[in-house]
Amino acid sequence: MEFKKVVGTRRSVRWLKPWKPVEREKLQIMLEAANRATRSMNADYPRALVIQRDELPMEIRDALRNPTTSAELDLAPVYIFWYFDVEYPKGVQDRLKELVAQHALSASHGWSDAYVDDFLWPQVLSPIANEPMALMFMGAVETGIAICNAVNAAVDEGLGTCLHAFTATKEVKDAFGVPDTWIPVWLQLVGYPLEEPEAGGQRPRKPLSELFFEGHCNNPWKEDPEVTELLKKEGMIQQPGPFPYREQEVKMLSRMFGLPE
Amino acid sequence: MTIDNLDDIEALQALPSVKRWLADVGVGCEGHEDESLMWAKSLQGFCKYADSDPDTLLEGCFRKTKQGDMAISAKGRREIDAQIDEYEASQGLVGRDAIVAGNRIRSFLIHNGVFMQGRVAYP
Repeated sequence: MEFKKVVGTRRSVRWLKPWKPVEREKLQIMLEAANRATRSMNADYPRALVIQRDELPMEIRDALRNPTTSAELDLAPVYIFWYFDVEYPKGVQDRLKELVAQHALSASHGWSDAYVDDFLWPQVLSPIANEPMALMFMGAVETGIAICNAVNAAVDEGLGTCLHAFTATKEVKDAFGVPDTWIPVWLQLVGYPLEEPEAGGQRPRKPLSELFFEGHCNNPWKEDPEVTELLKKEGMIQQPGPFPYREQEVKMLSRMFGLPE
Repeated sequence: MTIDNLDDIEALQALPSVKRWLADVGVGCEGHEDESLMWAKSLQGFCKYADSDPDTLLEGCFRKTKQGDMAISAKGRREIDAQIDEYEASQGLVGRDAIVAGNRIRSFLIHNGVFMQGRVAYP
């Protein structure tokens, strides 16, 4: 799928085929996409634990249930528990010097081994590593970016996915040997969509002019109508809901699974 | 709003909370009287089991915050969720039948603002 269409087609898909497993290669593609995401300091923030639903003890599945995530746990065949490792600053000094060595970070932009060793690490990065707020903020932000890549990769592979609140963290930790240094971020549920690809239509978004600015914060971004039309043509901007059949679709799916109407 | 006699199905169907629910699920309009009655009777059965009327059930799922705002009571919601399962079991229902019947009662709560999800009955 073309990139613009992937972005435009992504939805939080909550209706998944519980009977259809997800091929391992597709999960690997998602993980690799996460691993290739932009990341500050080239640090290894994200950690993911992939679990097949049917291999998850029922008591843990029940513990994961909460008011916003219960039905989906029964529908999704794959759970990806996303974390970040608070020890991500470890090794950053060397990772940065790898980038210097391959001239990704170069003298043209001020980089050198000496700068990394003598200034950046002791004066900037090491203090961050010892500042809990900064540590948590960066860990969450950078892992979120990686998860976004995994989400878009799932869409590209024809999968449905949705991020959910990650509860029962102790039960998961105890059952699967999650290290003490891993901080829970999101539970990503993955499977093949049971609903139409439109999934109720593209979710409403405010116009760019309400969110983004140019030159000054009192100067809203002005959309070029030709670009907007191009994005519609190429699938990044799609038809929003409600679709005429959607209510009936949800009703039928609800009845299929005995869920509340 | 409360009703004095839980056996009075018409009074139960006339409650605004019940009317809202039946309208939302598409059985509250003309031509759907039988379905509407069937849904209302499901709720009536649970109300009798819980010895409560529909609006009192709802009240138990909410609480007032210190600021005076309405909020969902996690404890109340958890209790009623469990009570729904107990009720369906007491009716001799198991498996898909129990889940479907229980989720019909949850539907009444959901359409009146109580966020909750039901179990899935695999087809």
